[in-house]
Amino acid sequence: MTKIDIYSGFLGAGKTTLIKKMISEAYKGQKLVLIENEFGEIGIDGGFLQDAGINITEMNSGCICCSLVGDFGKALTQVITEYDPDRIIIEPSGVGKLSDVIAAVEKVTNNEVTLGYTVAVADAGKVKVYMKNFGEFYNNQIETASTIILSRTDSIPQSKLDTSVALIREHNAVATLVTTPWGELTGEQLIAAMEGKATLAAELARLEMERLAAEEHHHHHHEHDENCTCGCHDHDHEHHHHHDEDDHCCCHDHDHEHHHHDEDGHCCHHHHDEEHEHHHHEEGHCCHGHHHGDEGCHEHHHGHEDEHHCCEHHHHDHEEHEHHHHEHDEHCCCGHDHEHHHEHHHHHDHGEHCSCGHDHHHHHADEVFTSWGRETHLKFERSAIENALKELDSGKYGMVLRAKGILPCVDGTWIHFDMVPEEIDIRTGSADINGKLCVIGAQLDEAGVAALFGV
Amino acid sequence: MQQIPVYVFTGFLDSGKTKFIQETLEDSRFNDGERTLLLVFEEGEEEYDFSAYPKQNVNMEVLDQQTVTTKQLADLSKKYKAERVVAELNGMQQVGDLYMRMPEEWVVAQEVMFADASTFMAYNANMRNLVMDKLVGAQMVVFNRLEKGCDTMPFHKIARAANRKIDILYDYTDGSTEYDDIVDPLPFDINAPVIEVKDDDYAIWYRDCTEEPEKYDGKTVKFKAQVAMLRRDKDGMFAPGRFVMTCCVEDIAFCGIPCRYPKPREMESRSWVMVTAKISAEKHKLYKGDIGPVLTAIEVVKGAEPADPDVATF
Repeated sequence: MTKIDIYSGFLGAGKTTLIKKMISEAYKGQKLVLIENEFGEIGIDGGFLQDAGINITEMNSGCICCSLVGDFGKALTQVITEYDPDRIIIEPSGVGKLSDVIAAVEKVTNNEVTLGYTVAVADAGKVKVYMKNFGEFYNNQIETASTIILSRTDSIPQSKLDTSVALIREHNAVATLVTTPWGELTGEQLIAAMEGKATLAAELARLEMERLAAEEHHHHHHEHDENCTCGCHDHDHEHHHHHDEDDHCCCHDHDHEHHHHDEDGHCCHHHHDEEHEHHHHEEGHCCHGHHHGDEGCHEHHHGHEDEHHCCEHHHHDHEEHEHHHHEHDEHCCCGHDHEHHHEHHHHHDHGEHCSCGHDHHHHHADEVFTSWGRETHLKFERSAIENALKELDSGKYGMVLRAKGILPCVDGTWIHFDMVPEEIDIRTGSADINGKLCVIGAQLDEAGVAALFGV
Repeated sequence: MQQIPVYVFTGFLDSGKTKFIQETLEDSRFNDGERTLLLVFEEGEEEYDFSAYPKQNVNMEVLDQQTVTTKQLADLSKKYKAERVVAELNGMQQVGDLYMRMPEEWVVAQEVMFADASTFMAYNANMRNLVMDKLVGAQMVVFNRLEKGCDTMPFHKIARAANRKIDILYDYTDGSTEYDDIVDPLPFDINAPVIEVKDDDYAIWYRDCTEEPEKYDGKTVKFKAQVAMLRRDKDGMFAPGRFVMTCCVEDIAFCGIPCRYPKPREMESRSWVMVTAKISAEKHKLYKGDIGPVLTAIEVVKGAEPADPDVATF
């Protein structure tokens, strides 16, 4: 298997610096080939590459008119045959269109060779002037990349960073955007960002899970049953809205649409006012089903015969059940491993769509709970966060069930906080690719919460 | 028709164009009140400060270089009754494309390129066609942000290779400036009885003798070339030459010199020959009626070993 990663970005954006960091911190142990179609200001010296066991191939002279003509595909194929690498890292010409490079790569992809990360590196201080004066190729890099990594965010004033982030979001609302100075991040964190695991959606999901875990606990104790009014119970057979085409799901069935678009009242998480939300539902549903002890799913998992409302579309035999059962661990919406399960959902369903940095809502059927999240590149005072959390806990902004944040501070450190009613935990932690704020609550005053944190 | 002089400033973003134009317009020696249309095709970090100009005679318009039309330009010039135009061009666009769209009465009076020495090498390595485009047409290039005492030779070489006549100015971080006075020796001896051009030097020789044919008038030259026929001169002439690459594969062109030779049809097109010939500076159709070098063969030896690489470069 060979994965092909592309690091685009205009001259001087810092592509080479980033690639060096990734090679020494994140691609360890992989057989790498680096294809350079640009003569960088900072050369990747031979010694460094030799030490890392990397082969380097330089393409033609690297000027606009020559890049990507003909021999690129050939060279790529040759590299794959000759070295059979785990990864090919392409540093294309800074003035080329990323979509052209991707198209060229896609010509050589097959079962064994796949497109990996598509990254755009952008100098945070130059986004505005480059967009204004370069036009197409620059915008194309921003618009096409699945991860945008800003460089030199620590050497420009906050106002300039604000402008750059806003402009980038105008052109690409969905890419994962890294605004933290690279020095504070590890290669692993950057890889997670590139894989779409470090998104706000993922963070929201984790928070939602914590809430559910807590609630499950609560359910156990209180023997919640069908009469529960929590809005999470669903005795309808179509409880499991697993329409994401995930082959491994136990609920994988043959009438997804039906599942998804049916009566709101019956299902926990129906609420479709926008795309993003749509994507969010699944993990909520599934977990709910499980957590709340919906007989169907539970029993299904445990292999009971008289099972499962939610899975009744499966008219398969016992072996198949068993089969499904094994796969649940990793993939099933009804899986037992919630952490994993969520990760997966995010990876497959949300990764591309939900890291947009806009509000993420997570409405429940009866509109009781809302989860709200924001990505931010702003820097905070510790005391301001403390005050904001106290305020949040006061009830003025709705009944906050749970809040979580990873935020950069003005002093260069990072604050991690967790909040449940009457319990606020603020601590110093490691940096993240950007700041994240997530709140779950009832009748949340979202605008108020945003204003409270100034995001 | 009243001609309108156009002062053109080229170079990449952040190369110092705006700052220079601003200072020039502040200077009463350049700006003593002529109605000036300032065209801005690139908006960088620096901004124009109209309050600093000695007279209120400058009108600025920000335009898109890629889409601006002749009519738009003519209309603007009429609107402001411009007596002259100062234009800050977009570094990512070809200068010539804009010139083609300029109104007829606009005449380029001066073209100056600015280059930030700290990024120039990377730009040149990766966007050579755009760098060449700016160097080729400019009367002067200013390399700025140079550290005093640094080696200017790499800049000199690139600028000279693109444009033999360009004035080169080095602008140092300490505020001092210096004119480039490096003389480039040609890689062949033009005073030798027979000027021997090595395979690697064809491009330089071709450019030098087409730029200054008089210098070579009456001299004898020996060089290796490929045979090309001249369409209009069916008899008694061919054009020995080489494929020359200036920037990259996209601009490879055959650069041949017309040569009188009794039996050109006996030679195979594209075959390699060693030519010894006398040069004269004459008018020729190949030079569109201008004067250029025209050869008269003394000896043409067939079956020469192809040059390696076969494409000649500077």
